[in-house]
Amino acid sequence: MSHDPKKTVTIEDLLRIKRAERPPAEFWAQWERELRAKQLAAIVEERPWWQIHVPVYVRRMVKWQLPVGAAAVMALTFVTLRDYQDQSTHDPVLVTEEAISNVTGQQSLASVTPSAPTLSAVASVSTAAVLPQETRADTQETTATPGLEKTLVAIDAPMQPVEIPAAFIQPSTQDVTLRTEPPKEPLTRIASAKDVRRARLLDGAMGGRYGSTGNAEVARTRDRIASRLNEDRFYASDAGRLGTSGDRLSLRF
Amino acid sequence: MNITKAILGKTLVASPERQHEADSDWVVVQRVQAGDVAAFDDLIRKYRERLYAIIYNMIGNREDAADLAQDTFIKAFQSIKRFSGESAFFTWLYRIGVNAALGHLRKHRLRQFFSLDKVDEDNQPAAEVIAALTVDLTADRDTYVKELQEKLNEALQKLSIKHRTVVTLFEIDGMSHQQIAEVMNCSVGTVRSRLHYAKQLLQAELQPYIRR
Repeated sequence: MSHDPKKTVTIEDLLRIKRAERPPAEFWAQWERELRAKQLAAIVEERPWWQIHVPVYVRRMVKWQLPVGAAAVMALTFVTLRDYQDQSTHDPVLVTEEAISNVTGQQSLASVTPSAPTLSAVASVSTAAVLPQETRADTQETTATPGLEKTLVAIDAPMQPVEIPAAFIQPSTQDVTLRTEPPKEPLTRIASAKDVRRARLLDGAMGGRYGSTGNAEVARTRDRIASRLNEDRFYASDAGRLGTSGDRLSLRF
Repeated sequence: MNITKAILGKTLVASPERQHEADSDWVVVQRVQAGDVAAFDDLIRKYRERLYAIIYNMIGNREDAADLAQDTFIKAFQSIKRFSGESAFFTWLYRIGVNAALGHLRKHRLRQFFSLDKVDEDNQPAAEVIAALTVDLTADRDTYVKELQEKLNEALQKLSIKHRTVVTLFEIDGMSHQQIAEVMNCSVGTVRSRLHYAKQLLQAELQPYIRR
């Protein structure tokens, strides 16, 4: 070994020591065996589907997953908000709401229309006498739904003495009071899915007949249908029809 | 001016040996692409030590370096049909290896274990440097060399991953600036600036071992 002991040592010289760090010769035999095993495993092992079908440039976007994900969320939010605004300025909810209010308006109107004269127990009550004038004025101011407006217009018209079944009159007060609804928040005015469905079924069941005639028979039918359309009751009665006892399964119709 | 050109020529452009190597590799690669799978073994035997050295000096752990070198060859074999010969095969292979090492370092940046290979004392330049450093040494020489190795590794690990990669490719594998730029997918200017900065840091860290 011929070296100069006085030789300067630079950073490049020191890095030559790093270059001389090598594994022993037997290391490579072991390394090669492991490589063969890994190669075989790689051949046998099925490659993930994204490595076969997804193009390379799409896979390279993985390193941009955070900005791409954030952009996607922003875009989705923007689209959702825009759609929601379109819907709120547009119709479907209002249309269904109007349908419901029409139905409820008709309902309330029906409650003050004369009932069938064949009913045996009836009490004659003059609603015009019971309903104070100022209450009617307040009701007109506070009402917001068009269906209720129709009702109030009907009430404001010259009132006829009407006959209401005694069952509908509370025994303690013997008064008929008209409920007035306070103004509602816009969000609470959105009808629930249950109400929408109920209104649609009612419209379909009555086929417009109810709106044109004031027949009490039709009103009763409508009431019956309305009471049976209560979904909770509907499902509860369904569940009650099935029964098991011992080795029997009973089904009530 | 001529000296500058000569230096730049050495560092910027691939050496004739490397160019010859690249041409012969391309022939072997074409054979592998044609279905001669056994030809890939020639490429493995040719590059395994250099590839291992690069990965080892980047991550400082021989077991992990061995694993990553194997994974690199498997990946290269799986993707060799996509290799079109636009760059040299070793540049392409090193890129796969460097990316694997970078991924490993990012994954295990909070938990690093170092295990170093022994210095090959038969390596002439390294033996000369060690002799120069231990000429006045009274203590155990082997202990001193081991300590020096650890200090070198420590200094390299203090560099950022990119600076460490540049130093490893330039000083340990002897690649040109142009080839490093291709491997690291950056400009030659960036390579030069990283190299300069990394050497300054290493010099500051290894000051006790530098003799002027």
